[in-house]
Amino acid sequence: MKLWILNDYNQRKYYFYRKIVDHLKKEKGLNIEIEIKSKENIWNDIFSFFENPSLSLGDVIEIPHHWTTLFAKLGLSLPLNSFIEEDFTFKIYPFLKQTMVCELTEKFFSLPIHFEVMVMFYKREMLGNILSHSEMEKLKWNDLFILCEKLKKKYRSKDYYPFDNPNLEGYIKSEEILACVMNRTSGYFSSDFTMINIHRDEVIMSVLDFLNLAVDKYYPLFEENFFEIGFIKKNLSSMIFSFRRDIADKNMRVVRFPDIMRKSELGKAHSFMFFSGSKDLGEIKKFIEEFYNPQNLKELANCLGAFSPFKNSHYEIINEKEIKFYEELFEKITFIPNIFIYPTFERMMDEFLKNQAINIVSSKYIAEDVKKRLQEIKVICEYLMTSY
Amino acid sequence: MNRYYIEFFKELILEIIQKTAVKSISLFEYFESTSIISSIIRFRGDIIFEHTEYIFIKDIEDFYSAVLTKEHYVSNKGKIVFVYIPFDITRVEDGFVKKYLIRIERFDGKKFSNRDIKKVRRIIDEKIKTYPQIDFEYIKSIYQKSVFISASLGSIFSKSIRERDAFKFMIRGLENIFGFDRIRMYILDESTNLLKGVYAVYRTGNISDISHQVIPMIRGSCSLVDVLLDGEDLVIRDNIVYIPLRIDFKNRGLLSVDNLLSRIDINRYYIDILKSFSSLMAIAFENILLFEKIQSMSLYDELTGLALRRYFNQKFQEEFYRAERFSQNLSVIWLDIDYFKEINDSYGHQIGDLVLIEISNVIKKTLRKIDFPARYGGDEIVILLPQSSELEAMGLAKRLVENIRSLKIDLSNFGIDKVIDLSVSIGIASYPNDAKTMDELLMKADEALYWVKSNGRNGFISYSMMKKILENKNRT
Repeated sequence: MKLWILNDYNQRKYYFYRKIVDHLKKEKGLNIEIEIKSKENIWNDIFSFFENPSLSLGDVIEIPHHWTTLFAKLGLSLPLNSFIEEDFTFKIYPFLKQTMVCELTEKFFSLPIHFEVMVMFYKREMLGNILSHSEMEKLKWNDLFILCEKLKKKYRSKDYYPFDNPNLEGYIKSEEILACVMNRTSGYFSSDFTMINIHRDEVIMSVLDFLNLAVDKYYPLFEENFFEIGFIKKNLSSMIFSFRRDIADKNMRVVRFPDIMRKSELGKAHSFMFFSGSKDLGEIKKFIEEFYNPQNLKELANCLGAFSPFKNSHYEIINEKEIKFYEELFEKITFIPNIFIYPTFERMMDEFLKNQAINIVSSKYIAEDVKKRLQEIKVICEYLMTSY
Repeated sequence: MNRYYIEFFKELILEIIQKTAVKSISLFEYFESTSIISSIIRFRGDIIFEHTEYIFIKDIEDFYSAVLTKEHYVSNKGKIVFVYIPFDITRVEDGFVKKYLIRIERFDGKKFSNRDIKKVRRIIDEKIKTYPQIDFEYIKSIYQKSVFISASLGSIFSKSIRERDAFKFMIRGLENIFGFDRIRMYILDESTNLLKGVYAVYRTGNISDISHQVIPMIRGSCSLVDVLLDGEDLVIRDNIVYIPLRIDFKNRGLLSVDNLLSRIDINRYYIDILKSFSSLMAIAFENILLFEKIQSMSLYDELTGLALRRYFNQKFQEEFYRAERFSQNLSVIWLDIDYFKEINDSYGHQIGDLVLIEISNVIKKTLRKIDFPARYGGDEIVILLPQSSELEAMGLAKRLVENIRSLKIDLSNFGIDKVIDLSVSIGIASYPNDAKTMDELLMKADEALYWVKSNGRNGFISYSMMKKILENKNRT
């Protein structure tokens, strides 16, 4: 049986899965081969399957939760209602159910492995007297620029950036900007997902704002700063937006992603989908039975700084001081939309943002182009929404 | 990066790990046009994994120096020791040179010996020599697929004409072969100068009818139209490939294939195949259309669009059999246009034809989908009403009479200052009440029609009702 895992900046994830696979082989006789693949290659391989059905896909594939509907509708993922216990959905956080289904149906096509919520971490001693913790808690998005400027003046090193970039890919991704968009409107799509909003001022302003963080050199782009080195770990950054807590150390404190007026918190999950063409259905069932227990998922969540899908597991994962903070976030959590068109939309947005980032580092960035390109993406997405 | 190349690089890295003292490696690809280096694969802590990281190297001395060097570049940063070893790979199909970097890594402050570095360089150089084999394997797989595609396409095009729904058969065949996100098929209707949708097929295998898409062949109305009017053989725009289908430079239709959903570039070999088959596809298109036309000519009256007598008889037999078998009602309407001969004699056959067309249109609009009208003779129209009782047939006849009565034929377009009023006479017979055989049913309907014609025309009657009237008359 093949297990495809998404690559990650945190290598402890790989050791965790290797340990699980070794255990399953020894104790349960399950022969599992792990492949660690990039998101891009998993996407390409899955679609290549249509062109060449003799290609072998993973039997168990890790995906971002919002790929669930797309691959369910393409007939690639196994419906899982008969593979899981009847009370599975009662054991997990209720808000995770939307990540498992194909749009509005009650059929499950993926199972969450862990989930995350967007927050901001900052280094207490680096902020010094600039802002207190309670001021950081009440931060508005526009205040960030003032804060960044003050920090840049305080730390004059040419290698210093007020923000670190949590994305291994090195540019600003659409999921980060989505958190900012949510300060102003429901998101990239209308709340009923029948319309796309990216042509609207609220979204354009959010994209421009975020890119301006990089234009003003408050946010590094395409630096080899993360894997081995890390700006924030070397005190070359003071703040970072992150879905995960493994980025933070004991010298950092956590606050909501600014802005205080925002009504919801952005979450995302990583899930397992199971290939519908797999010949190892018995082994898949065994894998699900053995893997999906609170102990395993707690261990994984701990090593990644994420949260296990099992209800109330956060009590065992985070420290007491942060429980109340995160519980408030959970009450208002909104996940990246799990709709058919979203993965395609996200790919287009990320490609666009990557090109803008290249323009910024090459001093070729033109803000006026952003609106034009967003309009083009909107047209294609609307076309897809009506066609499919 | 496709699977073949990923596997090739994984093998390279594993070979270095196995044959040297190196314990940590990263592989990068360098894009000169953007000065971005992209990490592809890493090996650390006994695990090999794909890795995604993009780095802009202009401000990073190590990388910048590394891509410029021909041999290797050493970077010492305290405990971190990196050695960058660049290499190029030339793509077989087009000679394009791709640039890569292997970085061997230590995190314990110890240096790599020159011997280690040279050994790694030798392994890389030896491995690169086998790269053309990978390219060949990839090209070979494409070639084999192309041969398969060519054979399959030929088979699809030749078989499609005999298929019940030829266009559906063709488009499904295309999707099965190529696996695009979507394929759409359009026909150009020369008589109306409209581009009409036929079918769209999706990766999921679903086929949808897109006949509601009717686009005027006016430049600017739609990109599909512009492509046809531009006269290019093939146009590619943003993951959509447009393939005009032409015979002798005349547009017949258009095929559009896209990967808009997956955003994956369409394989250029497939584009070449589609281009080379476009003429064959156009011919297959044409053949299907001609075949359908011939079929409809032998079944349908060209003037009125109603079925011909031969087809009616076939259908009558089927429906009568069904009615007998399942004990269902079946009614027949016999319709005659009042004073049709006089109209022809007074105004000419052109007007006579127009009258036939207008009345046929009214009939078609008034009937249910399962009803079957046919032109039985000059001005005689017979209508089959499956599962209709005498009462239901009477209701329909009433509507027909009224709708036709409200028709006004304005002859001013023919230079005649007159408006003609129209009327019809209708006779109805129903199975099983009026007749037990097909011939008898037709005969009884005809008798009822004759009665209407003899009693003022412009009306309708069923055989049963006519019988009652006659019986009453005889009694009195």
